[in-house]
Amino acid sequence: MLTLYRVRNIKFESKHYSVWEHVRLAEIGKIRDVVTPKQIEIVVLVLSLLVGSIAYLVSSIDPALDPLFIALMAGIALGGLLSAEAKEASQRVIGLMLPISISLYGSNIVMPNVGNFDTETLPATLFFAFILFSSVYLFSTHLGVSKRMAVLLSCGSGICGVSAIAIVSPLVKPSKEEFSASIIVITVVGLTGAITYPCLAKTFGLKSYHLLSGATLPQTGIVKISSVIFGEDMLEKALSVKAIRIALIAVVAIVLSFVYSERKFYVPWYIVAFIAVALFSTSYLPHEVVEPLRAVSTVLFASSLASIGLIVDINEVHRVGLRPLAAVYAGWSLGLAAFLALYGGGLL
Amino acid sequence: MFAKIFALSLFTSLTAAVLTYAVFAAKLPSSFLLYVLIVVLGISLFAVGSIVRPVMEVRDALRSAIDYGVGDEIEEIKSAVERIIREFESERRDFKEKIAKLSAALNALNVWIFEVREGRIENSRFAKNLTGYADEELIGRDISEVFESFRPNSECEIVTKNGKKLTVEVSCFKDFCFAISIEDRKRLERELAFLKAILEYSVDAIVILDLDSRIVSCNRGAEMMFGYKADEMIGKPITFLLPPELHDQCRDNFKRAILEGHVKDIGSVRITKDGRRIIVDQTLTSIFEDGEVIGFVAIMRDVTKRKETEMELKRMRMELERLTKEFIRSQKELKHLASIVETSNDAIYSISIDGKITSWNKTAESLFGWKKDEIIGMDASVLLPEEIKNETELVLRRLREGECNLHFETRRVTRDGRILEVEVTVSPMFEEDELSGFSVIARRLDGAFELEKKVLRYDIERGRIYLAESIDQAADVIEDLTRCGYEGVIISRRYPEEFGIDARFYWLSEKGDVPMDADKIYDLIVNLPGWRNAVLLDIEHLIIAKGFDEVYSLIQKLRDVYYILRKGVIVVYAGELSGGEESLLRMECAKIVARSVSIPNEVFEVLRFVYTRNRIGERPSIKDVMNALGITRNTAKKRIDYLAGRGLIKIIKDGRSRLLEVTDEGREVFVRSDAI
Repeated sequence: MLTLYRVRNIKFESKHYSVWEHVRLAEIGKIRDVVTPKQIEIVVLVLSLLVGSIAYLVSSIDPALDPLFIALMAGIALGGLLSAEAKEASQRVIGLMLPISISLYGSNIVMPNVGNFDTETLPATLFFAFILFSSVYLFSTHLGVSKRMAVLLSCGSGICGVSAIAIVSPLVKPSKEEFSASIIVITVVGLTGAITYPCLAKTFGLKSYHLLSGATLPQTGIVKISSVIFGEDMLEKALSVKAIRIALIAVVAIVLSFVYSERKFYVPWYIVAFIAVALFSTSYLPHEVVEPLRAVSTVLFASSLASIGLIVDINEVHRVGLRPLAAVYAGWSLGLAAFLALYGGGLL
Repeated sequence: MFAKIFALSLFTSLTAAVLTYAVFAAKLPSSFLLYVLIVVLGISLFAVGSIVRPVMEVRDALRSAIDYGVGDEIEEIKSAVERIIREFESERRDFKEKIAKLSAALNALNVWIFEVREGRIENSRFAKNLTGYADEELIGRDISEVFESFRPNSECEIVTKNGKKLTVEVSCFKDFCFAISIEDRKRLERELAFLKAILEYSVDAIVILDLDSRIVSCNRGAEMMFGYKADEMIGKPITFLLPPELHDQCRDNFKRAILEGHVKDIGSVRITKDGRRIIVDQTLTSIFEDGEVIGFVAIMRDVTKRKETEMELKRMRMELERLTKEFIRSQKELKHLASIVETSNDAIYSISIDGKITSWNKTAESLFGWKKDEIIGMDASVLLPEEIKNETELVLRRLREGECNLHFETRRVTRDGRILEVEVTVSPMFEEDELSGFSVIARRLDGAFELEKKVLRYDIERGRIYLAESIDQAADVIEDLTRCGYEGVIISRRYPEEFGIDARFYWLSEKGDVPMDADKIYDLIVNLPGWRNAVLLDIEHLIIAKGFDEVYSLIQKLRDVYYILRKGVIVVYAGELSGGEESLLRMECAKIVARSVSIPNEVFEVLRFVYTRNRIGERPSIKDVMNALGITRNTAKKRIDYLAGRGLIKIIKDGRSRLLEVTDEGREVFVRSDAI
């Protein structure tokens, strides 16, 4: 940190000199300890990896504390301390880390076995995913949220929360503030569901709670905390339902690649790698390899989000206002209402 | 804003309360309270963002506008607003000052600002200068009272308070209108248009050049002068109109124009499109802008005709000088000639076309006895004997027919009635190619006749008719006369070979040159040219053909005419006649008598030749004798030796030449014969 400050101060001083004077000053040794951009990049990379690792450790304390969410928030908190040069370096680190992280994050995807589900589970899960995706998109656009952010919020709500947002963001290319706000909004709405769903289950005695939790809550961690209180069996069922939605990220990523690609039928290499890693880790790789790979990929992904957080200004994040939050709440409420209607109608 | 904060705080609190109640109601783990906290913080974050967003936008706008930050948003906004207020106050003061200046400027600019609604003037400012009305006077008035025809955003005419019409330009923005007097602009436009017209239609070529001496623009005069269209000239260097030998001079002129500002009276040559070379009088002026030369103006006038006229005048002046000198010389010559004429030994006088004597020299006075004062203006016939009174008319007719320098022998009568034999030379005088008269140079011939009589071998006198004894005698007389300068004429029925002399021959025959007609023969002889005719008239056959009486009558007439006119000598041969006829003829004709000279004829010829030459002051050589008489050197020498031996001539040595001169004894031959 001292180094970064020194760099900024020297720059600040030297900008008052002309080019010739700058050269002359450099010759007589007045300007010392100039840190090169490469060195700054290394510092930022180390800092991001450190934050990602800490976030991963924090998530192990409580499943609700999503490592990606924690890393992003920590990055945002640290970003205010960084110089402009460090933020520029962070931008370059994101360009390096994010595609690798996405590719490796495919190991966290577990391709569901269709035969293990009930007859109504798969269509109901797809139905709720569709309801959430489309309703959040429609509410967002209706409330004046930008299309890029609407897509992020739709993916986060309908597919798999923060990880879906992080995976599709390179395709959609939102601003850093829209990206950060989308992650916070999805986390807030997901936790709201995690708090309210057990009450509903206990009040109405829901038998298909695993479907409600797995099909309508955005993040795997939130599904875990909302389901674990009803026993390991319920947790297992809920995560299996959630796995269906997680698997949809591959489909959505390909579709969005086509929609947002500058050329026809172009899918970025990291999306292809993501799907390939997902297939390999599910089908071919042994459990002993997949588990550490998942940990590493999660740390890397969290580190990438920390890097993103470093360049985000929290003052800019909250400017998006309540409209994205209201849109996601509305979409989530519609999904919940649809579940309750179907459940009340005896279809679930 | 407070209501918004309150509502959102209430909502957040209720959410937190509900969620907390749910945690406790469902007996959820205490960790869920952390989730409630995160949810509430998340909602609060966006709620605060929603509330402070306008404030932040204001702050950002202020920061971007004035770049003023102290760290705290509210303090920033406060400071920024205070600063804005201060700046606003400052701006307002400046604005007031500017308004005041603008008002003063508008007032000075003759701008009238007014507001028009429904055809009426609602407000008015600065009307006084332009309209003469006070602003208060115009408010409420119908716009048509001030404007002739009010048309927004166009030129209109207003009627001022004193009734004068002014042209103004009216610009309107909704109801507000600005009227600006454009009288000065109009005047300037007219002046500019006038100047432009002068420039465009000037006969002189006006060419604008840039610093590289390239043509930027040119007027119609330049097009007419050089034959190029403006488009063809623009962009080209001025040197393309110059012959190559003048390029250096052109460069020097541009240098002078830059240094001195202008160069006048440049006489130069330009080449037109059709290749003609014209002479121009050029003025080259530099164009300055902010003290820097930005181009040149070249004004050229075609002075080719003037130069040509000057050259023509110069040539004419030189011609005039030459003529004047010639005139003076001619005058001198004339004076000289006049003195020559005046002092000439010949009588010289002139006669006008109406026959009046116009000039008269001293010799004429002494020859004819008339004084100059007396004779000038008199008719020229006063000098003519009765028988040739029509000579003047005859001479004029021949001169009109184109003859000139008539030379003949004639007679003149003196003041005291004496008849003089003269030789005259008549020359025409012209005025403006019209015959105005003629001059006469008259020389008395009496001495010549005396000589002529002395040198002839026969005693023959001009103006008389002689009757020859034989045809040979007749031919001999004619030959003798021809040797003395007479024009020999033979009129005969015989063949010319029978005569053997060099004379003009007329064959007397009905089919010949002259018919057997007395009148025709008379006309022929009388009309013979000149005054020294030696006529041999062989009337032998004519008498046979026409009879003696007719021929006799012809002889009588010829005798009279020749006596009067003295046109020469007629020798008649009549052949065998009866006694009476012969007597009649001998009464009319003189007898031919030969001179009694005791030397042979051919030798006498030599003596006569030398004598005649000595009379005019010349001494002939032997060669002259050979040539004159057509004899060889030996023959000439023999005859000269014969004469020298007789003491009639003497041979004088003059260098290699030998000259001949008649001795006093030789002269006696001719004197003696003359006495005979």
